Amino acid sequence: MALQPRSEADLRDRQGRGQLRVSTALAFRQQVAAAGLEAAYAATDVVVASNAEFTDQASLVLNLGPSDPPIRIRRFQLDGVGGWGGHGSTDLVLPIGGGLVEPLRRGGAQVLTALLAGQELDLSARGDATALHPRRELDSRLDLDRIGSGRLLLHRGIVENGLVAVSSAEGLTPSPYGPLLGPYGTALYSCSGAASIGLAMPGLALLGPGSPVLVAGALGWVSGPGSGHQPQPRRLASGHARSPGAVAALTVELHGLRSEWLRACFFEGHGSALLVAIAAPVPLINLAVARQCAALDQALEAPVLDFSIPRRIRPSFGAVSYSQLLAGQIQVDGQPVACAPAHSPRLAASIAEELVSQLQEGRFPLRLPLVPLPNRPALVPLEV
Amino acid sequence: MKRRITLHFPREAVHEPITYRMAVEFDVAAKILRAQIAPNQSGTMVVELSGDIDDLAAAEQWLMAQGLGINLTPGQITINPDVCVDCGICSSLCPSGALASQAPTWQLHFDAQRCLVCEQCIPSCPLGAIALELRGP
Repeated sequence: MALQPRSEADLRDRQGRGQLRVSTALAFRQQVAAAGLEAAYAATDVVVASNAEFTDQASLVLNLGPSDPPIRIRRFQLDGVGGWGGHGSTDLVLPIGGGLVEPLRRGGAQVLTALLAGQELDLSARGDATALHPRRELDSRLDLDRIGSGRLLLHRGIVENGLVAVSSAEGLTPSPYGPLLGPYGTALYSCSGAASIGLAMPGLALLGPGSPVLVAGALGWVSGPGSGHQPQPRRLASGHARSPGAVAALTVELHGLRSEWLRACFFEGHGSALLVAIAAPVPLINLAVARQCAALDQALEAPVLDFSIPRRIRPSFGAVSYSQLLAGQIQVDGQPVACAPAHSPRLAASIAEELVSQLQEGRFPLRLPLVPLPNRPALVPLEV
Repeated sequence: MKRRITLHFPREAVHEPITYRMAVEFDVAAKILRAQIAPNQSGTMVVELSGDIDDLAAAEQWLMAQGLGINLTPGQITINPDVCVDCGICSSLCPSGALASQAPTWQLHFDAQRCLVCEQCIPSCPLGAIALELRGP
């Protein structure tokens, strides 16, 4: 009886009665190892998986009220970082990345964390000057209280699997994951393996537009397929992706973000980025979902790519298992290469614990997707 | 190569434009890290010199000939635990293994005894959590 499939209504009913049984991905795997898959499934309703990865593929949208006389903002500088208007007349769109050529090495990531820290920032904007919006220029100051609403858009919020970056070039090669010492001196890997959202939930199958996820402490939502969404990568027999695969874009309200799980950073030679901790529930609706969720690091793998070659298709050195990555050494071309995580396992574990509490206490909605992420690949090469 | 030194200026040498002369005459770049210099007083300056090894040696000889005292500046790597997220990027570049993290906690561990103060970790940290703390003068 306990091995029967569970419906969304069953799970929400349990949550409503304060009886939802929730485990982190790590605890669930330990339970499977100790008692077996069927017993662990029978004793667990929801598994929480989490990521805390670096991303610069994000934007901050700030919605301001009208000025008097009104302005239709075309370009602006917020705390010295430039962005664009073009949505509502006083909406600001700020890229999270950038700042590479600026002396202070700041991008939208630094502006976001300054706002969350309660700072008041200088705003200067230029407008189009139309009959309805005659103001050409505007100078003011902004803090969180003066921003009516805002959203952080994570265009690659959850990626099914990560990759391993190495460099065949002499010296240090900058990358979005950190500097790589070459030739083949170091490797950095972007995904934490079995504890990550995408490898606990192959294909991001239980996420779709409107699915709730915990983003840096705030209630965020899947808005649809993310940049580079590739729902049909090569997969293992278990269904787990062998490369980055499916991608979910996320949106989250600015005022709920907590700096504890959101950090601005700057990569030499690449630019500004955010480290964002994200946790997602994996409802164990049947034994097959539980089996995929219980996959071990030795059964999962990530591709090794040469980041010193600036081409669309980078040379690949095959794949390595996450158990090798987590042990700190992989083999590339038969040579041992030391590797390190380019993500934060500590923050990922911390936000997973937070989501476990919120689910158990009924403070976080539990929903199955109305529709899945689309099957159409969004990773279409740009021909020039 | 780079070399970090502390220069002790006697009062009569304070007026000398030493960073300019090192650049022009020895092709050595001097980055001033810390300085306490005032007219007609003795002073100290911590500088990081960059240049060819022979040019550095010649520049140091010239500095001593000007009456300046030279000390190699000791320093140590420090990590701000409030900023560090234990990502491990710095540990990948640490040649001595002084920076390391491992499962299950993944908390970054720094062994100062093993540190070579090569400073490769400082620019590698995307959060700016690592710094060089100079001791003295």
